[in-house]
Amino acid sequence: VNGGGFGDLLAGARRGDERAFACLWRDLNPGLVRYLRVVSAGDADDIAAETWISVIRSLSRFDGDEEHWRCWVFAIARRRAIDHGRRQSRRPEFATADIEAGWDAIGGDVAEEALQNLDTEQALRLVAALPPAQAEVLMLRVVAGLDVAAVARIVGKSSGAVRVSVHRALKALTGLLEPTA
Amino acid sequence: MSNSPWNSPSSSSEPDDLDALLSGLGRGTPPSADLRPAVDVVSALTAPATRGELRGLETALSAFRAEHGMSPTFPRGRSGSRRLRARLVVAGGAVAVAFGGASAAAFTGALPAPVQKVVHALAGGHRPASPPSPTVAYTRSTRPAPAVIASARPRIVGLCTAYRAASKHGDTRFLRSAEFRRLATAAGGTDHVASFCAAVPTRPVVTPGGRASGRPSSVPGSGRPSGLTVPTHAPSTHATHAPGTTGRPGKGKGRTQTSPPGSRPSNPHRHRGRASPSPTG
Repeated sequence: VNGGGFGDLLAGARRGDERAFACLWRDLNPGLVRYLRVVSAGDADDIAAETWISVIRSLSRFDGDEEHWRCWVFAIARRRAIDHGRRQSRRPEFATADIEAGWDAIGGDVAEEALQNLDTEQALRLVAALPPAQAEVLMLRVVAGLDVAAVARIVGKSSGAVRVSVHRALKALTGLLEPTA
Repeated sequence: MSNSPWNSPSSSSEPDDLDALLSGLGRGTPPSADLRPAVDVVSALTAPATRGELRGLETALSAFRAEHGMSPTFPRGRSGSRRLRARLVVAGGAVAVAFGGASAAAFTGALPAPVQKVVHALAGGHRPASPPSPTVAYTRSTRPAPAVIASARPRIVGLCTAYRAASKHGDTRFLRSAEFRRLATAAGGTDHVASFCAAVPTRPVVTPGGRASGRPSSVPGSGRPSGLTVPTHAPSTHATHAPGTTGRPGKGKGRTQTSPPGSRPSNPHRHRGRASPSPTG
């Protein structure tokens, strides 16, 4: 969050200062959309918009620092995504083959380029190809910037389980990107 | 003063592999070869915001104004929801408010090449057309239908037009270009570009809301433009109930943030600042 500090922005937003709110929004929305693109069956932009409406309505009741804020907003987004998933018709099992399919979709390109040129889109596709639980904790750790304990609370697992998921996710990504792996 | 659930004591959060990876980067230690790919992915995940990711601001501000300014006593019941939706439809269809325009501009500097913008715009609207996961309550998307992407992201129409033209004239330069690679990424592989573009309408149409869209008549209902329209259902009015969590999230260490406007909210370096301060836990 830029300028003025989080506390001031939050106070401003709670008073109805739309510039303060816009700062908070711009700070968080990109990460929110990336997270939702990985975990959600619905349109990430739509779910993010729904999330913000919930946030706006409950803003006067929120109190906490910036870490709490991020945790709060992502937790709301997660619930919205789950609601969205429930409304969607049931989809076939996410098969292991899809991981390869997801990788094939970008693998050729990545192989031709230096890895550091990996763009966000490609990275999201890669993460989306991971098992869902791993993908989610990785996104919460990375794009939400939440620590292990916070992620554990959001997903309802133990810190140990989160750590294991992160470990496996990183390992899987490494495996996917290793030319010889 | 608050009924937020975030103030209960936090258990200490021991570092995980990601902390180790990021703290290594922070010390300037080059990642070991085996971790390098993971570092690249993490970096890409935290790249600067794209235009597409900032597109919903006007909509959010409309809701914010409805809550705070325009209608201070805005009811929270069902009818309120409907009214809010009505407002959002207007706001969403109508356009770049001056405020939103300025804020979008602020990010322009952070954006990479134009092609990148196109790609991210394309990338922003993934819709599930694919088979996903069942074990969790929600599912994921890996490969959206072309027409669905195109309806949400009119620019893909342009890329496909370029692709068709290049194919027609045997122009192989396009096939070697970054644009083509991006298109291939969106299509799900170079082999799929032809069929992907075949399913993309040739020209964008303007929807009643004023939004350009390549939506063909056969697009499924899920293909609405994503910049935002309206929620498809009434959002929760009690966000504090949303998370299934009750503890405070982290160390409670407020970050002092000095990044300039337009900087990404979460890059690895910034992330370091809020990782567990104690390397050994």
